[in-house]
Amino acid sequence: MWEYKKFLEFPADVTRKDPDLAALIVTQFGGPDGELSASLRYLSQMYTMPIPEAKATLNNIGTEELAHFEIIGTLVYKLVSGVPADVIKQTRFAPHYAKWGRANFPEDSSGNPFISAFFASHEDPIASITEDLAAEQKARAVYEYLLDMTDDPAIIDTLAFLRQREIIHFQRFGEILNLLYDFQEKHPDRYPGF
Amino acid sequence: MTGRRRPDRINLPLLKDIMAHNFVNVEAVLFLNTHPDCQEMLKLHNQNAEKYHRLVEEYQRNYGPLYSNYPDAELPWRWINDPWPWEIDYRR
Repeated sequence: MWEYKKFLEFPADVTRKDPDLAALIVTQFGGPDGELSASLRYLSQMYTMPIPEAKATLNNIGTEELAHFEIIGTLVYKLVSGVPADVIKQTRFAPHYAKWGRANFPEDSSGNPFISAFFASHEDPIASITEDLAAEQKARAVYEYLLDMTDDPAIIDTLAFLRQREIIHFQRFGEILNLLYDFQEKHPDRYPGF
Repeated sequence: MTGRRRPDRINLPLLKDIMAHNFVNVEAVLFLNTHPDCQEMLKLHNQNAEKYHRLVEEYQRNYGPLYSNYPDAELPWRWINDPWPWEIDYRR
């Protein structure tokens, strides 16, 4: 089960309101390479993993991604909270405001809602972990695109932290992939096609 | 009842210290999952976890629950108190 801790994984902050930027950063809330997608991918894949290291790693990284979902939600919330509608009207955030007001909604930077088709969950562990390696690199790339979109030092700190986590997760998944290959070599009966 | 409601209390330096120790453990756990025989990381994990729990206990006793299952002797129920994590200005 999950238990909430009443603090963030990282002190996510903004130095000024910026609804335009909120409309872009939201892509890591509910977009294809966003944190919700990452979390649900790993927390769906963990059940059928053949080795304990893989179950634990997917469980812990899937949990950490939920904390990142909250960090992105915090940034979007702080960027738009208290901004008057007539200011929002002039920004890229206006289409979001027309649907949802200032509430957070998992969507990408074009307003497309989150869908689970953003990710896959295969019984074949090599297929899943290889997808996860790609997912971490795609998320890292998106953080770099977003870093190009702002000069706010507080937001840069937060996005740089999240970018760094993608690199660490990539390293851990790489180790899991090697352990899976070792496991397959030792148990060819469980993988007839290997 | 509203008159009994105490003012919001937060200790930002202590909260940030807790967040930092929490993060060290997030990282240590991930590393140990793929290096389950690493004595050095286990030591760091255990020392850090011990400190984390001490800091959390100090915070919860004095400033309110960080976990909703904290056995809080005081009323009114403090778990609902603002600020929530997304409402805090961490730059102070």
